[in-house]
Amino acid sequence: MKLRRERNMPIVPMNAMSDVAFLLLVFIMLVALINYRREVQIEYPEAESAKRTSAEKNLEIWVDRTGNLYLDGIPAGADTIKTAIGGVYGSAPDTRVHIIADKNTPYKNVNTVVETLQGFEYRLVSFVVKDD
Amino acid sequence: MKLRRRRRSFTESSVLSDLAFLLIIYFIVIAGFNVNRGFLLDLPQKDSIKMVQKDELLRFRLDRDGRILFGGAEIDYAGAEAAIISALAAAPNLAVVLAVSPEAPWQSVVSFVDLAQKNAVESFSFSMEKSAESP
Repeated sequence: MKLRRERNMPIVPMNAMSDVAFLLLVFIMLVALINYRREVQIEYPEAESAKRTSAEKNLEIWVDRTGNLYLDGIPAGADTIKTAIGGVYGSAPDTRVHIIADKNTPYKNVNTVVETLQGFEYRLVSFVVKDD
Repeated sequence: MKLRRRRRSFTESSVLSDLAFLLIIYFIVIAGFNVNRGFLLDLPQKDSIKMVQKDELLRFRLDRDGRILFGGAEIDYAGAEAAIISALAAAPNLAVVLAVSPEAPWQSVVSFVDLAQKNAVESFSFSMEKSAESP
């Protein structure tokens, strides 16, 4: 009589997989938190030939429709922005300054920031437009 | 009394890992959003003076409504582009100067910068008009 040996189906242990997944999750959540960016409610201007302008170090100056200024998403006065640009110019001159203004704001509101940058002879400047 | 330890089934843990990987994808996408697109500029010094020949200078103006004025007459963006292209063909060192009304919407300035960059105008500058503009 021929006896058939019962074969067990191989089982891949998935418990370790979920541990790895959760470790990765924690890591990526931390990275996302570090890259957290405060957004101001504005309507972005649009342009066709824009390119990526983000650098390793960035400073964002936001101008909303009514002309309120924000430094990295936090409300700030013109003097605060001037101090911040001066600080960046002294400590990390390779920081790129991004001007992110509402498309309907009058130019005089943006000009306040542009004049401050010109006063410091700041060169690394970008005008941010809507990302498609 | 003998207590039996309940073992977690493989099915439960595979659901957990699926969920974790979905969350990972979500956070990777969120982290990738932090990128700006725009125009890189080389701002000139305040009140800096640059010598330009008269026939290599093209002056435009943006009024309070964002309309382009060229030689006192209103033109559209296609007209401004045509003027720049023909002037660039005649004078490769062309300088384009834009005077912007304080009330001009930011979009109109951005559109003009876009126009200048698209046509590879090397010498492009803009400044706000000092005097109050008549409506």
